[in-house]
Amino acid sequence: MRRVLGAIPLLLAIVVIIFFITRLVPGDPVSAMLPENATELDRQRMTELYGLNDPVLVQFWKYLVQLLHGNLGTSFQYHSSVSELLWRRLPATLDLAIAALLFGWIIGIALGAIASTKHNKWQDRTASVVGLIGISAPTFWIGLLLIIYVAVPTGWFPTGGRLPADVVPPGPTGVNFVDAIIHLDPGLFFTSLRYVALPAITLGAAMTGLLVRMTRSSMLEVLGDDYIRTARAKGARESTVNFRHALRNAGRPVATVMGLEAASLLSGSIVVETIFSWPGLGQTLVNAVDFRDYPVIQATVLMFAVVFVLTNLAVDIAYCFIDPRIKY
Amino acid sequence: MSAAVELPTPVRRLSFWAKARRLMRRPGGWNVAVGGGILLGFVVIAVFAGLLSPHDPYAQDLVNKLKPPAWAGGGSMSHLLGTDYLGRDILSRLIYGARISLLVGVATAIGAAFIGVTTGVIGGYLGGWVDAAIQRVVVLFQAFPFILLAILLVAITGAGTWKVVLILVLSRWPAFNRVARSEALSQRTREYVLAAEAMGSHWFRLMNRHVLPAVVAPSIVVATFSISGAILGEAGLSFLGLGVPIATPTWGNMLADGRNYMYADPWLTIPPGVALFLIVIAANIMGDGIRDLTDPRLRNRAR
Repeated sequence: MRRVLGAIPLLLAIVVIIFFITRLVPGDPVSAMLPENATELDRQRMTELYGLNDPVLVQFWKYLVQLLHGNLGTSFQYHSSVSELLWRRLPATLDLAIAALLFGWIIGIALGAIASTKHNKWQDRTASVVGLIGISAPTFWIGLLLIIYVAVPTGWFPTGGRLPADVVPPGPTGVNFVDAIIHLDPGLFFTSLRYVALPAITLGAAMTGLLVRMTRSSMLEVLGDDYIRTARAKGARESTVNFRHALRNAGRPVATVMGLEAASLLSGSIVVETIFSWPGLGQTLVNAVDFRDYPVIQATVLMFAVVFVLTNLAVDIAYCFIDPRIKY
Repeated sequence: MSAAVELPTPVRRLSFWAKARRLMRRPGGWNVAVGGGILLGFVVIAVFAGLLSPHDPYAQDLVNKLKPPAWAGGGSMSHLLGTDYLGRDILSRLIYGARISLLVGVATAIGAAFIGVTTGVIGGYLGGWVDAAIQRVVVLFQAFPFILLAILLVAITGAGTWKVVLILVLSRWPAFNRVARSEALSQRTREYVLAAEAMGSHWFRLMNRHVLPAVVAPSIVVATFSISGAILGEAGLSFLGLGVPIATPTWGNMLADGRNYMYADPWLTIPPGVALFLIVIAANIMGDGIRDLTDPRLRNRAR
């Protein structure tokens, strides 16, 4: 509970910083929005309309009050509700992030665990090289290479969008492959998987590399411990020792990495969505930045920050389940 | 003048190589040699960029644009790696790009190390409310998604190399703070530190003479990984057009250019990507090596 309350001042600090950074820097949204032949009167009306004439502190107060009412303002660019826009874009980012997480977790932890149980054998060396490549290769370069050397020659993987133009996303969650499971629609499932595969691999690569290394090194540390010898001595099967005893106790540092990586996953999604024309929050942010669409910038960054803080909180709480010795 | 003093050079050189050989046999020794060697190569390229590059990296030659590399059909020896969409020589831009990458990487590591180690040692050694206050700030900085802030700041105030460095420093110093603080905490209770304290050493002297040296080794490990992280960060921001100004030859900018021609001319994405990958992997290998070399648990285990 203390941890949950501790997140509140952090979120507040984030709101303050985001607001003032977008306001105090040079750049004028009104001139970006109006056509070149706009008159001075148009400018004044526009400024008035969006409350940009008020002192900055008054603007901040109004923003805060609106925020607490769940109102994120009106987009300068689309002249529509920002919260609606973000709700529409959120599922795409979740779609991508979940797929990348699954890819990273499964491959990363499996390779790391195999490497540690086969210490100094070829499996270990292969996994170590994969881990090193994963953390060293630039995300966006992996994306470009996958498009050029996998998507284009094979033609199996689309390089933009989330679904073919003639397929209507069925709902209700908006995360396509989850919806496909809900509707028990294998065709849709594989189609959406085809679209999400390359972006997810690109986004998940760095996390995979890090998880391979973390899982391997913390498993190696744990495997030398006394209770592992005890477990072996009492005649437990090798797989039981490795998974029930070692992997579980190696889990805490691994979980930390998984939490911290959620952050780089978010920033990574900005790049990956740009490369693969994926219509999610990252692309929305990049567009809004080009247009100086303050309400959208603020709201998107805020949304990213909230997700980030909540993920870290979830990881902290997950510790208690993985390692009962820890209490908050 | 006085008679020249005979320096025992042969003996010293021998001991250096003997030491190096002994280091190589320890776990991590090879990693440091290989990673450090590649990095040194990049440093040499960056320093002598003016001598090594065959062309001006900014010079446009629209007649010879999008030339393939020398070994492919239509390529020529004057542009060994071909030219980009403005006819600029790719090899020359690649060579000058090493400057920006290394500059950003090293500047970030130094800046972040300075802030992180100073605050970490002071907090860990003094403890009490000073430590508590510093830890508050650290937690805030760790939890703040800086890359978003970077995108905001650079997108609105324009691109700039030093802005990129500043943001990367802000996002990286907590890592240095953590290792420095934990090392300072453990040094504080050592007997030799307590003895010096009992003799009346000033706390500043204690930190400088006794605590700081112990912090150096783990900080170097963090610094190596910070270099690779910062190089990747700069390239990512430049790739989005939000890092170093667009015309500047950096690997991230070259990849962004290459992306626009990735279907017509996929070759453009290869040289900068390989360079980036190589420098980052070299820094990471060296970081692994230094970590193993300085890990006391691995110290006496021969390869």
